[in-house]
Amino acid sequence: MSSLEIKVEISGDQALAKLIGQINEDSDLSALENITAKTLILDLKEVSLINSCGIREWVEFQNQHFDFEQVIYENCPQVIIEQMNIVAGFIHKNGKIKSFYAPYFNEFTDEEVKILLTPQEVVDGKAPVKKDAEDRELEFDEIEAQYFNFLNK
Amino acid sequence: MDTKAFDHLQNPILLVNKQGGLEYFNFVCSTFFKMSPRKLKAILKFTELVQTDNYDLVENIQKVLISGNPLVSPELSFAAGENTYTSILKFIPFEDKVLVHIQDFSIEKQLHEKYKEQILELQSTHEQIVKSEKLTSLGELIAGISHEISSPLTVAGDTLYVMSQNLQLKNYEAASKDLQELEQEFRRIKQIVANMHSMSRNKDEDLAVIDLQIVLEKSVDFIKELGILTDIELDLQLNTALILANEGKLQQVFINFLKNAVDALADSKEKKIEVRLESTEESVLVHLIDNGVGIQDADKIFDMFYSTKELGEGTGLGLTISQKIVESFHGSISIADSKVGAHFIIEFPKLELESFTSSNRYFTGEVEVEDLKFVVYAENIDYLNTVYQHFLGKPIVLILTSEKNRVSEICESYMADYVVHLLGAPLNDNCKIFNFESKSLDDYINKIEEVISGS
Repeated sequence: MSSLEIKVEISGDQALAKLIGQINEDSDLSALENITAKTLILDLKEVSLINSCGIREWVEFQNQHFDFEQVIYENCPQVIIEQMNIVAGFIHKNGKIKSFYAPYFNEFTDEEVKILLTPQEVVDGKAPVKKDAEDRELEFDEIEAQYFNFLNK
Repeated sequence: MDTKAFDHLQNPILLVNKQGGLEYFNFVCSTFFKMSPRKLKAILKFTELVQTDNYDLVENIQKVLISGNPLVSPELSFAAGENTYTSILKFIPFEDKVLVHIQDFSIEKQLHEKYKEQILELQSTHEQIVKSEKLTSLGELIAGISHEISSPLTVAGDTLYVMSQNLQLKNYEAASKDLQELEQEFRRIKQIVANMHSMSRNKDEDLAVIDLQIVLEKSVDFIKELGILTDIELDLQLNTALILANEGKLQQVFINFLKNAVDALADSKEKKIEVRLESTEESVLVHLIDNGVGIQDADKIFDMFYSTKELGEGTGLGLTISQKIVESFHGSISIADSKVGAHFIIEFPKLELESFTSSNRYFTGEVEVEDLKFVVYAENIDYLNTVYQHFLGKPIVLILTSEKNRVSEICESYMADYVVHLLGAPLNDNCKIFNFESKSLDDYINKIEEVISGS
């Protein structure tokens, strides 16, 4: 049984695919085959895990089946960003990252939060300053040079 | 100490000092351990991060520090944070510290266990399917048999009534005819029961020298008794062909092919089935040919559950099981090109080849160089079987044959030590080997025993 659910909505030249669950050796990606659209938007917000077998499947699948003029990756969770930083080929040759989550730590409340960033907010490999509701500055909870490395690829 | 290069490596690398303190971890560690760098920095000792019961990390780190030589752990299962891992750790001396390199196999291990479990499930399902197919075949057989037995029984019952009437009327001539008819009906029932008996008496593992001609004739008779061959022209071109196999199993195979042929002829005008036996140098070929609808997907017909019959009429397992049975006797099934209908060829190794390989399998696993090789020739199947069964499991190699003119050739090709001509068969001068003849089968067996014990 596939560990991944894919919901596809097509509107004109644009297709929106929401991926929900785990990308692993059992994932069925066939819902992304034969989509006739110029642009594919991949909403990865609800991808909870991707393992090394899943990455292989994903990269191979993209190379075989993605013939879009543009592939947009949005709401990329931390698990995806980490894999993007380790494995080449996760992003399609016509791919672009629209938004992604980054880990921050609130030392005042001892809470870990994931904040949605855009690539434009990351300047010179530095995490943008983010604040909590009380206007207190949050601490970026990863190694910047490592976490934002995918933006240089 | 410059560790910058380690940050670009894809495997987790840690630096541990003499006291076991965690001094450094590369970038990928936070991804690997699923912990933020902040949390990792808060861990002071290597053994606080990596926890394992079956390997003394501290002791081995000390060994590396003292010896100055690298050390590789066995495959370890360890806990780190909320996760467990299966990895091999390599400890490398690095200045006055130890560099720990983690080669992780957690995913491979999980996949291995998952697929192992799935294979076991598949095996169990396969066994259930085979069992259910056996039960289905048995059900079909019982339905066929009860139908076949019930019709002569009904006729016999009616005839008996008429006969009793004739006897009361003292019409002895008519009663005598009735009696003949009764006998005929009971003979039919007896024949059906005899066929059933020959199908069931063989255990799966029983191998014996059998004549394919007899097995094919019995299979055709069985199908005839089902009454489904009435409007079909049957062309049998059979001759004696001995192989080493299990008769009941082979009958199951031939009956399955013949029933399929009958089904394929349902809509044909001129219905014909041809069964032909052919011998080559090393094989015996059974040709099963019909002029029915032919084969639609030749590459799929041996697949499990593949059937072109209507739902409920075929299980799609008959050919799969037939193929397995034939392969278990080192045979094979192929499909020949035919313009009309279907043409199957079932090939078996000839008796001498199969008995030779069977000797290998049943005696010692592999033929030992010093094992004596006997070529045993007889025309009578029962004699060959007696010798085969008698020496089963003994450290000799038997090569059985019923073809007199091939004895010399077999002796040469198998480099046999002795040739045994059973019951006065002519000796063959070309054989360099020991010949003897007698009129008693026991004499031959005793003689072979003597030769073995003398060697």
